[in-house]
Amino acid sequence: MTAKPLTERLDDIANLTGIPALTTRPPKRRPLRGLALVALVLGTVGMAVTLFGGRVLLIGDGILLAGFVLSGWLPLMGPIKPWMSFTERVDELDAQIRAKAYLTALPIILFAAVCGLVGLPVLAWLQHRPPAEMVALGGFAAMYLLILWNAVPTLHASWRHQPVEELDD
Amino acid sequence: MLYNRIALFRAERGISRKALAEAVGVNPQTIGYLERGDYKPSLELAMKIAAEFEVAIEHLFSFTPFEPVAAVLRRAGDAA
Repeated sequence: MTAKPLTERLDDIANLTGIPALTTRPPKRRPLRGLALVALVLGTVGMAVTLFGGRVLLIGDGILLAGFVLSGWLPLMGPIKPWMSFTERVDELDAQIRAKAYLTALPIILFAAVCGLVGLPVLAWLQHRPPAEMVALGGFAAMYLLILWNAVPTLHASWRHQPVEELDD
Repeated sequence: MLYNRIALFRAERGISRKALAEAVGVNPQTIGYLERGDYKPSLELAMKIAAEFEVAIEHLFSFTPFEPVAAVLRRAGDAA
């Protein structure tokens, strides 16, 4: 029995996750309202907990990270199709759903970003937080914005458009 | 509000949503949303659907509700 080269073994490990298989066929897209809501709630709660700082900073980070991991699945299997796809057709309806979802999400993300840009320095100034903690809070805020980027458009698309029965009449 | 008779024409010609979607280059879900009135098609898509059914576009789409088929048939029966 010949030993597999390292690169082949790494390929096998990657294939075990099932993720490469997702690229070979169009994904089955679902509304994913619940998952998007859970990701958003976890992200918001996590971000709020990190703002207290000190000992709860890492607890908040853990909750935020859980929300981030969940939100990562939303673009892959949610109702919004990507701008460029080699496996699925993105027609005019999909483009409209996507455009309206991001038009709704971007002002919300902008508002959150401005709150962070203003609020974090004010927090550091008022409470004399250590610089390392403020750097960490900046990173957590960026993660929260990414959660918003994934979750808010998905929520808009899934609530705005009731899915049509796929079974033909 | 834009009304359409896509479902009626599909049923008359025995075309499935999937077949119509393939013919006009969209997803079957899009045909479903169109028939439900949840989506207004672009002019290009509307014309493609009309061309597929070989009818004028105003026979397929209208700003006013289409007359029910039963009423049309009753009127035709009365006239005959």
